Amino acid sequence: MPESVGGTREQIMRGALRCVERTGLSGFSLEDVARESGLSRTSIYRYFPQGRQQLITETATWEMARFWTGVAEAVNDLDSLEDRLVVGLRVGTERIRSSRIMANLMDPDLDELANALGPTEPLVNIVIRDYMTALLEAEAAAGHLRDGVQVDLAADYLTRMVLSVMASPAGVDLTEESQTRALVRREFISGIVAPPDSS
Amino acid sequence: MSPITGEAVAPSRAADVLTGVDSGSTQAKVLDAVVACAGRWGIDKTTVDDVAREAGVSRATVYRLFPGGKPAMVHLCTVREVAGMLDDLVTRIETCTDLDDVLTTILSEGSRMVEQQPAIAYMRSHEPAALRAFFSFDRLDRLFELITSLVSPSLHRFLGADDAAAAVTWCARLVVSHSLNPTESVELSDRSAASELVRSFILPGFESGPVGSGGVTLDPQHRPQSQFQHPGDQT
Repeated sequence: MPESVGGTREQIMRGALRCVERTGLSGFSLEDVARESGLSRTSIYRYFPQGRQQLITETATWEMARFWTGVAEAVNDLDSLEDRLVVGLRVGTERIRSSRIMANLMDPDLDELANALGPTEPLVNIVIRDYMTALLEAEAAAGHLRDGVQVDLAADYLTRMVLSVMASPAGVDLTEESQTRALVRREFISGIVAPPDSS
Repeated sequence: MSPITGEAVAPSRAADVLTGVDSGSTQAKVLDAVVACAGRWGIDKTTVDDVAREAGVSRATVYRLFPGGKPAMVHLCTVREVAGMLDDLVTRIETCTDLDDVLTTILSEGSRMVEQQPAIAYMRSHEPAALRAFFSFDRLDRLFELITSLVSPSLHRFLGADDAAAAVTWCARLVVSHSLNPTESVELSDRSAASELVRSFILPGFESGPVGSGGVTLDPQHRPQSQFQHPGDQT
């Protein structure tokens, strides 16, 4: 039954997340995950035949998808590109800060986390770029973009800025709306969105 | 680490000042050997013996110069290589004639330097995860801080201090992002692609009374506003 397949996979990945929360990325075994998810080691290997590394990578991908879905849900009802960027950066930062996994990460774990997240990165890039492309096309249709803006280049640019600023805000507190709005207006959209008075 | 002011660095290079290793010294020779080995077979597989052989000194000499062994050398190497690239970048910026030129130079030259650095090139093709880890989390924060503190004084001819720092961090973001996740259509080490990016997305941010700091003129004739002039920044 397909549902129970997804269900058990999720059950295992949730168990893995609880293990990481408790011990960090390097400090748990498949036995720990089995105990945490109430399954046998054999069933874990049935769903993740390549073992621990596969489990970590796929759990990271799954958690990443949940993270970005949460951010998208928080901004979907907003009207302007500017508001979506401002709120998206704030919500994303709050979610990262409240994540016990991130809080528990010790320095030796960074390499392993980067390793686990590495394979998801091209995927995250594509998803965000597609999202930005759709937003920009809507803004273009509404006549909100500056003359000559190339939607594909702008979508690529915004994707990079979002990921870079989330990874390292470099002194800006993204949970402070006024700071984030100033950053978004200048560094994200000044070359993309037409100033209100010129349209 | 305290930001290095223009006065403290000039005339010596930040790569020397930040590491305490003078170019031409035996220490520098050993660190150069680390970079050569890392470019050949990666930092993980490089041993102290490899480094000693490459530098033409004994293993004992390496440990006398670097009691912390390989980790200490790798750390110093990283700082030295990054600061060395930034020294070269600052030298290039000195010949720039306007802000457009400066920003385009940071993007294109910065990307070219990252592309050509042997240890980074090795990681890119053999150990992409290690490269990602190098540009991750608080390491990325510290890297942006270092880049901004070393490079932004050279923009004070065209921008106020806050705007200069923002502009350098902004460019550093794009260089790091493009070198980790290249887009085929945008090759930043190519000056015309860098220029298009600058004109499309960065310069407009400095055109009309930027948020949070003083207005800026793009016309070199009108620069600089005296209240933004940096004390150690005469050209």
